Amino acid sequence: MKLSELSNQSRIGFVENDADFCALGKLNALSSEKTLIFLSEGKYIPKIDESLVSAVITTNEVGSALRSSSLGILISDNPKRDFYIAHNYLIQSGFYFDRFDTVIDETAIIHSTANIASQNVRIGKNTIIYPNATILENSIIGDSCVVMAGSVIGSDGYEVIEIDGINRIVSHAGWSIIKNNVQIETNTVVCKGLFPTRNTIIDEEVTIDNLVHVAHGVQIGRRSKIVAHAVLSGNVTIGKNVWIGPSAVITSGIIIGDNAKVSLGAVVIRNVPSGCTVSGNFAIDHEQFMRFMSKIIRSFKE
Amino acid sequence: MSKEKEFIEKISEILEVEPESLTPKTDFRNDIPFWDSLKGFGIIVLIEEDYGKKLTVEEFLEQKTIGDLYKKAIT
Repeated sequence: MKLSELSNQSRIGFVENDADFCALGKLNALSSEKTLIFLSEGKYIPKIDESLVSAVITTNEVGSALRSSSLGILISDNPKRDFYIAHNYLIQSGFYFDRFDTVIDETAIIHSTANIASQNVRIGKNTIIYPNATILENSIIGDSCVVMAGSVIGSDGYEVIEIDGINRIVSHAGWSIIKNNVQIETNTVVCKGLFPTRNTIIDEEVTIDNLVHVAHGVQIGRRSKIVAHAVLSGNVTIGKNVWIGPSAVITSGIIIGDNAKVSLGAVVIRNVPSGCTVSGNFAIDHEQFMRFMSKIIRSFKE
Repeated sequence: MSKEKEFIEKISEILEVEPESLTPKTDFRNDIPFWDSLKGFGIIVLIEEDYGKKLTVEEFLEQKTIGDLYKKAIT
């Protein structure tokens, strides 16, 4: 799609330099070529990777600093707002995905009180959906999965934009993809991706306990275990065979390597290398944390 | 007070037991109630701060008794 076409149809800003784009994305979570982003402040210009970004919605001031680039530029007095107005328009216009009637395999067991959206849901063989679980649009659930009572798959994540003075949660256009043999306990929420370029993906044999929050764009590797009340913020990437302890909080965009462990109650604000264990708030290497705590305890006793 | 007895007193504070209940032969992980890894790191820090000997976690895990720990601390 051309930037000029988007500007005309969704009635936002004016195009200073036209360009094609194939996807929308946020600068901190890009994953496909020819992406349209928004940029409110010039300090983020160096972070633009032109192999992924083809066009920018931005202010006149920031736009002037981008004129020497080959990027498409759409000038707006409020780039973030207009980006999401364009996004809402693109959802309505069918830019992101085709609609289809929900497909539930005949061997799947759906409890009579479970709620399954009538469109854009697929449920695989031998999957069981328990009472009062809700499967919303743009959810793909594989074979032999279990979604226990009260869990919600495919809800919008938390992305807020002020439009006409009112705070609104942005409609999400990505997917929640749950692969085979995943088990999700009760009252857990798995949000769908904000854009289809960063879907929420839960790989095979992942087990998720009660009351876990899986935000938009989170991707969890095979056989990882997520224990009760963990909070996985937006676009977190978790490797294979990872253990996330009870009430751990993982900040947006963090990458946790394969076979890592996050102790109970840890607040993770830095990437965790493969095989490492981290503890504490803010989380550090487990051994360092334990030595530190031991020294504090000793100092109190003296 | 002998140096070994002083060491056992310090260990007893970390393990939260009476010093009289400990001997050099005490298996500090299995013979005391409520062993946990924080107590283990407490011993590592004690040996580091009071005896100037830095033990790795692996070295610490090889020690079975309070006597073993004392030998590590003083050599």
